[in-house]
Amino acid sequence: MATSPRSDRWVRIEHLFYAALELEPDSRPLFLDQACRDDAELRKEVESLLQMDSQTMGFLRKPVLDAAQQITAKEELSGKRIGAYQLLRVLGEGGMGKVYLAARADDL
Amino acid sequence: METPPDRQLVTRLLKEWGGGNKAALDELMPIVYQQLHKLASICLVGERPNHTLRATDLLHEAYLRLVDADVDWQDRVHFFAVSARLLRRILVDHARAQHRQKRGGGVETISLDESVMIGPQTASEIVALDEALQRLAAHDRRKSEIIELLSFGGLTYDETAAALEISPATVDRELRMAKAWLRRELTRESAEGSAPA
Repeated sequence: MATSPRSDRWVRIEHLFYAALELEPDSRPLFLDQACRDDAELRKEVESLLQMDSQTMGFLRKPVLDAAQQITAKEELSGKRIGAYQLLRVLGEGGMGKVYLAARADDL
Repeated sequence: METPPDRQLVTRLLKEWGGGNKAALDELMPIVYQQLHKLASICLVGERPNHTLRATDLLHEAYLRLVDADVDWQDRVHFFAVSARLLRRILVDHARAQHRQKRGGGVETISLDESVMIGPQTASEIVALDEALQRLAAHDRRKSEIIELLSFGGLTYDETAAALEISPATVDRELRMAKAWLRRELTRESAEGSAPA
């Protein structure tokens, strides 16, 4: 699969982000002064990323977990369509939950 | 305590499925169930004590789509990497259906596959995350893939590293910038009050 190579600018931002993180927070402004010189945009990019640096993963996981739970809250799906398929009946229920017999709706 | 899947078995099934043996998928299905059920059951313990987590419906949809998918399966982690991508598409499709219905108003007949199952707040968050990930991918594909595997796929850091054939240390490093970038994008977007399309 063809992938666009990362831009020089992106690579530079990344380099400065990690380099700055190696330093004490107090040392970062001076470091960025020297590294970014007259490129105010570059400095803003790196600084805004540094501001957002955090351990938290919640903001990435929560929407997905909430959505998955909301979708799976449905009690009964027999008779309903999901995409191109019509769910006909429950085949069985095991430790993992219900298994449905389904057929392509356009075959019915 | 769940038993981890037998790696040799899973690998064999994946290869068989990749070789055109559809029956191998039926054996794989419980493993997919387990993976996606894990996704739906992480955290929020105690928040909804009476809430029954039924990963079944979501997984069944994923299964139906997987049956028609024509992909080259190499091993278990690649399988779950594809599951992550699939799950992302499923959730985004549902989230966008929620927005369409909301905008449509009126007496428009919608088929049940578009019946709103995700609440508006969560739908907005899913669409925002998906769009931010697409923008991230344009800058840096690998960072976007890492996030996709960890968030949509529910993979562990080690599984993510294996799926992308990089070291866990590289995952950590990539993740740090990817998260900062996404937090900035998502914070910016919600501050502007933009409604995802």
